[in-house]
Amino acid sequence: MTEIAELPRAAIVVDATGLLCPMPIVKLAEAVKAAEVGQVIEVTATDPGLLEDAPAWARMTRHEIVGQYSKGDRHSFWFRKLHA
Amino acid sequence: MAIATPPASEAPAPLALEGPGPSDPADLTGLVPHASAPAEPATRDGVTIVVFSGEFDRVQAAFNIAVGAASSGLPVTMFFTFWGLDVITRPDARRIGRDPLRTAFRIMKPGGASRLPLTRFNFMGLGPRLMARLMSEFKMPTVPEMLELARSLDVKLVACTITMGVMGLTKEDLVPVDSYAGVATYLADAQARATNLFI
Repeated sequence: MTEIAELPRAAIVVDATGLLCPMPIVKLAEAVKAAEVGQVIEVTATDPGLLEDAPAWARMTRHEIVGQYSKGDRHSFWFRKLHA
Repeated sequence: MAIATPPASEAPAPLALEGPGPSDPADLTGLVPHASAPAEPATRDGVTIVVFSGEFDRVQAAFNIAVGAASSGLPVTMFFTFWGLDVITRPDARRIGRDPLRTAFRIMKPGGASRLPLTRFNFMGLGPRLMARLMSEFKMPTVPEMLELARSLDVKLVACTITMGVMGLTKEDLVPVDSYAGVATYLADAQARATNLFI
């Protein structure tokens, strides 16, 4: 099991808890846009839709998910920005 | 070990994990390296939405898709026609049309993004207010906020000129949009996009 400590430290942390679709994706997109290529962006939401939406967003935008963690109703994803 | 991208024609290979993975792939409580293989670029990217309806539940759905798509890097065009023009009508648009019939239209249907009715449970305007309260509890953006958000995400907003004429609306009656156009403009965008919706 990969430990959280093994993940690259996120350059930008997005708290989208309490927000509903499509806002977690909107906040994530904003953060990734602001980040440098290669940086890691962490997003946490309570909307369970993120479990499907985050991988779908990564496929569409061709960025990489490097980690995922859920605890209770909080779901976190770590993205690496692959291109400008 | 590198994660290989399977050719699009084959079924995706089981997820290749670096190092020991969680015993149960469905166990979301563990941290799993995720192979989000860059997808094949689609030949036709993007979305068009014909916003024909002027009810706020439908319009909310249209904006959800538009804002979600724009946030995913897809070009989006929203084409406002018929009752959808209410969404982009200024709240202070004039009530006098160029003839009595259009004036009656403007008075009965003043428009404005914050004044849209619900398709169901409208109750003479009480329904939308109650719905707005529920939505604010969930921190959902309102239709006027969605309109601003769409604009800031470079969603292309197009007003249909023929229905503007029918309803007695001029450019001065509408909030700023990217263009005032007709069916050919819509079709030109629609041909180039993979997802075309009529709401």
